[in-house]
Amino acid sequence: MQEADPEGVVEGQLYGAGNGIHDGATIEELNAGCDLSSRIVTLSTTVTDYVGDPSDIYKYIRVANATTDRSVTLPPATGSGKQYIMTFVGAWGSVARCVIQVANASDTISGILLGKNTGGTNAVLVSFRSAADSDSIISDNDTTKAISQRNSFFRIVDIAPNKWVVQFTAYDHAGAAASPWAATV
Amino acid sequence: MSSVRSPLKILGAGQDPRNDAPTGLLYAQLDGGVYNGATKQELNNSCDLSQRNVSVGAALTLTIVDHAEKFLILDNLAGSIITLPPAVNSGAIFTVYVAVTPTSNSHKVQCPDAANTIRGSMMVSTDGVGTTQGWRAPSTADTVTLNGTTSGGAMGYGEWMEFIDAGTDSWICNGVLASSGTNVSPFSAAVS
Repeated sequence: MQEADPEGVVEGQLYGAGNGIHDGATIEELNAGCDLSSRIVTLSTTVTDYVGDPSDIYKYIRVANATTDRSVTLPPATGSGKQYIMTFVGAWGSVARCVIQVANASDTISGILLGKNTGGTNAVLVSFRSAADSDSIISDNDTTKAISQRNSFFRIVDIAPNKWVVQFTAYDHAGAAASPWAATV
Repeated sequence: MSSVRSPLKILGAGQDPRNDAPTGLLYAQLDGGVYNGATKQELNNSCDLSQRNVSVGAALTLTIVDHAEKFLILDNLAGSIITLPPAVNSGAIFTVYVAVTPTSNSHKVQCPDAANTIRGSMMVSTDGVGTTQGWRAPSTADTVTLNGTTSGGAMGYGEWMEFIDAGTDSWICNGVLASSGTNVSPFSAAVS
């Protein structure tokens, strides 16, 4: 049996140098920022949808072997600075879609998605900008491919109240590109 | 048995967490009383959400200690100007998001002095399914200018840049910007 903790120690409080009370990141924030294992969420054949929780701080969402539809619903945007990283691994079914969407009609997502307009190594790089009311990114395995490629990478950041921003590099598809942006929520 | 669980307890030198501490708690081993690793500021910069988003306003001079790993927001309609700290090969990353299109002047990210340079590239998007222009920084570049039209900043939210302290006096950048009209390079050598 261990002795009682020193008098004044409070559950949930982080202690450090100085007066003993750490002023800054909470335990949850430290774990989210530094503990890699706490970040991972995998969407698979058994867990096809993820609904973000307001307590999320830093999540890494792997979309694995999407032979059927997958979806990610972000929590309400508050300007918190929390972020989601998304990548795609494995196979992608011919009819599967992945939808990334906001939590409510007040939130929007802004970003510029880049892609190759035709297949091949020297294809023209095109861009699709979000509209003022964009609240969803819808990716299929055809013309609106956004995350359906192994080399796709998203970072989605809660940058302001009611506003998410997305960082995204390049994706590839075989035919003429179409915008993955939509206003559906 | 303790009824209060402290989530973090600092052990003294010589103490062994396997023997000297209750289970389920996080412990840091001290060496002579000093934790050798990330500073409190570094932990907060990376993890404290309350400090993550930083409004640049009209101007902000960055320091690695205060601003590394934070999100810097260009939010001034008359242009926001970020001055980078001297690059010292720290690996620090500054992520910059555009919030508003400047209606006068320009948004800028600039080096602190003529000795520092910015290398790397920016992808600048034209409208819709248009050609995306890639611009590579020349060897003398020390400033990235978003004029709100041709060199970026035309969209506001959705545009982003990253700057990495990659060497002595050397920054590396990348990002995606939006332009209107004929696309021009956002890079220049403007710091004297």
